[in-house]
Amino acid sequence: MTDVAAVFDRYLADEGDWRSSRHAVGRVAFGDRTGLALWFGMVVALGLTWRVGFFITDSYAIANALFNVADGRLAITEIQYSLTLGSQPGLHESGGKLYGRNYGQVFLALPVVWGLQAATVLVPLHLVLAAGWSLAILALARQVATILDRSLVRVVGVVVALLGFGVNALSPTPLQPDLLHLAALQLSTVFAAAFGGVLFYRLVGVFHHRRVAVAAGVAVVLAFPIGFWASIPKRHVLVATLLIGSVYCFARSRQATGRRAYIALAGAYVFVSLVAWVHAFEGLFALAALGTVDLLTGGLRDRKRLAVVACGLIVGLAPMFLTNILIAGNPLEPPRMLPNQGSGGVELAPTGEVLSTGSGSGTSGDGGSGGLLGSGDAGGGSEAGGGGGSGDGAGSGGGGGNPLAVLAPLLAPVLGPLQGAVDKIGFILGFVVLTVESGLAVLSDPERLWHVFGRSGRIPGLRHWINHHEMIDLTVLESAPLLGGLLALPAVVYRSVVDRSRADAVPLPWTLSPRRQTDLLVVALAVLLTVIYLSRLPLFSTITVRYIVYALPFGLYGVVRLPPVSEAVTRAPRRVGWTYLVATVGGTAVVVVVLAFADVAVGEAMQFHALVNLGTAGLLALCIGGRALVPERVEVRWVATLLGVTAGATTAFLLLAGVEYFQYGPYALGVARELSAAIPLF
Amino acid sequence: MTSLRTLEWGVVGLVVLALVASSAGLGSDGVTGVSSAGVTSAAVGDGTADVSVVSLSSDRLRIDDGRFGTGVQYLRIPDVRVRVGAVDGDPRIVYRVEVPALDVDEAATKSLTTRDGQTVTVRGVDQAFAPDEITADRYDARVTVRVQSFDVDETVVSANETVAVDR
Repeated sequence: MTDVAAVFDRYLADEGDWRSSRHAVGRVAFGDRTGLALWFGMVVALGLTWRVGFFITDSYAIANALFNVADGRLAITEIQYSLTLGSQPGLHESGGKLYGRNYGQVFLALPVVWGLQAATVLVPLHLVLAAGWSLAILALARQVATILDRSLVRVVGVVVALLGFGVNALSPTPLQPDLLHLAALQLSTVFAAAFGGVLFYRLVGVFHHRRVAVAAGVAVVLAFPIGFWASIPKRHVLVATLLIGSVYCFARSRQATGRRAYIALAGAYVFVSLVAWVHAFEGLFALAALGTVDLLTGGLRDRKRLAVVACGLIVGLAPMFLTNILIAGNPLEPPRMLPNQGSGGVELAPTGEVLSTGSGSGTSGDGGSGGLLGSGDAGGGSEAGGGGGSGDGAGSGGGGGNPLAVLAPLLAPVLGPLQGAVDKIGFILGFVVLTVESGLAVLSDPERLWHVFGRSGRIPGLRHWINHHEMIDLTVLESAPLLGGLLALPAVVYRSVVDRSRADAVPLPWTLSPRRQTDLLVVALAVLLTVIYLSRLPLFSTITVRYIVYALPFGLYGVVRLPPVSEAVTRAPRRVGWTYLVATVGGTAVVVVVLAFADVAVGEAMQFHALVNLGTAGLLALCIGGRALVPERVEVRWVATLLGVTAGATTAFLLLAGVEYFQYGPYALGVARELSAAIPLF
Repeated sequence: MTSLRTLEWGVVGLVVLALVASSAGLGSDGVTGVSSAGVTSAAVGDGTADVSVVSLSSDRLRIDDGRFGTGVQYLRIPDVRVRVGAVDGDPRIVYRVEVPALDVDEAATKSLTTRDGQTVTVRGVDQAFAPDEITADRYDARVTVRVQSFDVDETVVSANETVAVDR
């Protein structure tokens, strides 16, 4: 039997079948056939955990915004989805009208709405989704068959697609027609998550072996918290995808030459600017990181490059400015800066702000939106709690205490009509400074950091009553154990220093290689985008510390960059792959048996996964560190095995969490419903 | 290779045919009821059913420490298994556990419409408490199992229980 890995390698080395202009669009979007296959594969897999419902109350406002935008208006004049009583967090008021937020996410979901509307003119929604899922399986099988040169895969695809459609059609899930806009919003984030995986595959593939790139692309979605949030229509997955796209374009701009480099550089700024359309302040911080690294590494060294960057910024920011003008009449005033309707919030914005640097306390607003485990259709949990929350530190991000505000009166006579804009910019800059300051202050609180990154359990000071005292909120390492590889970083760095034949001077940023320049951007984004949320963490209803989910792929990029990891995936790809499959299937079965035998509650199930994931993360760190320090005693296949086991344990967690633990709406696919019925847990 | 392509297009054709058939009213619209596991309310209409309790483990009705580092205490609510017969219409079963001193009033329901002659399990959902909320050594509880519809509300089981606290 021909070695599949060898065939795959030959294919990757050749890539000859997508050179014609017929495939130009596919090449730009997915890079190559492998990217397209990854996208289809991830969409098919993510569909299994998709429930059509509201997991978090914040999504009501976004879904209603989409419903109204699809009906031709920005303002929310018709409420399609609502809680039976109480507030609908995430609504903002301007000019006597109500608006949602995250309009970038809303507009990007519009084509999906149109597609579903067209498809459901005559056919029920659940059959449309069933048909789409089966066609995706067919397409996936066809791409994989071509890549592996195995026509048998197409036969398997035909069988699975037919069986899947049969089960989905005969085991119908109750999807009422009025769920269409919500389903479209969820489908758009599923597509975005899968596309994030493709972009991550392309990013890693810029500087690494393609085997490593494929593994990383799969892992970042299916063995990472991105997978948990993929079908939950929050902004996090979309922002993560845009940021990965920006870093990929940056890497390409450093690697390529001539026109391609300029286009890639512009692409980096377009992607990062589009983040601002989804969440203005996350975009602002990401843009600051990109601009700084680009400047330091010589990307802005001539007028032509400056013009390219300006073009990228204009194209990327124009949608946000236009939306802001239409809503607030001010391009610098995104919806999150407008007055909240109902409860206030803890979101990252310079109004109604709750910043805390105190230990334990001040982890959120005053709740009021219900938990994630409530009964009935209404999901719960919200980042927009009330105006409570407290801290005993210096944090206060509201209107007062803006250190730059004093400049505004001095500049006003000179700038005349621009005074408003100057005030706004000064206000925003003050918020930026305070946000970073309060985030950095948390770094001196190890207990708080431990509960964000290390172990969760019952976290002191968190208002667990909101989720009925179920300990469902995990830490970064508990929900993304592959990041445990970063714990081996000191050992890897030590080995790297020891191996140097001569004492190299610390290089200046603009002398770094393209790979190192990309590393610098990855570190800058990961650190900055994490620090700005530290003052709000730990927080209830974040499950996988969702506020910083968008920064976590850059941690995974760091793991991939560790020589023992890339070496293991490159030299033992089949061991990684098979171990991953066995750990996913076997791990899921073992967990189900253990938890069924123990007869657990949902909080206990989540904490069980947390402990398992921490264990795998620790072993992975030890193994990678051992391989770096004593390579003659720690074999490559051990690292490969632990990578597969760690990823498999995470996928098992994501699968069970999506199918079984959190029940907030009907399944999109009957297959998932049957799977849930076969699991004797909740 | 050509035959494979034909096969694939055949599947696409079948799927499209199924969609067309459903749009012409030949298929099910699939939105007749909601009965997914874990959902705490079930569809109900007129009707009745004969229900007898097969098992209801009162021993499990207790309060103990959460496992795996949860750091909370749980009121463990046992599952109830009932034998269902003579189903007429759309009745549902209601399984309710009340512990007034802890402000607990948990009810789980399940539709019996398509379950004639079956043994049905209604899951009890454990309730978590902060450690300082459980102050007594035992609590009084009331457990009821009822068959309910717009026509009837028949109590199958009504029992007073004592909930022991494991220290």
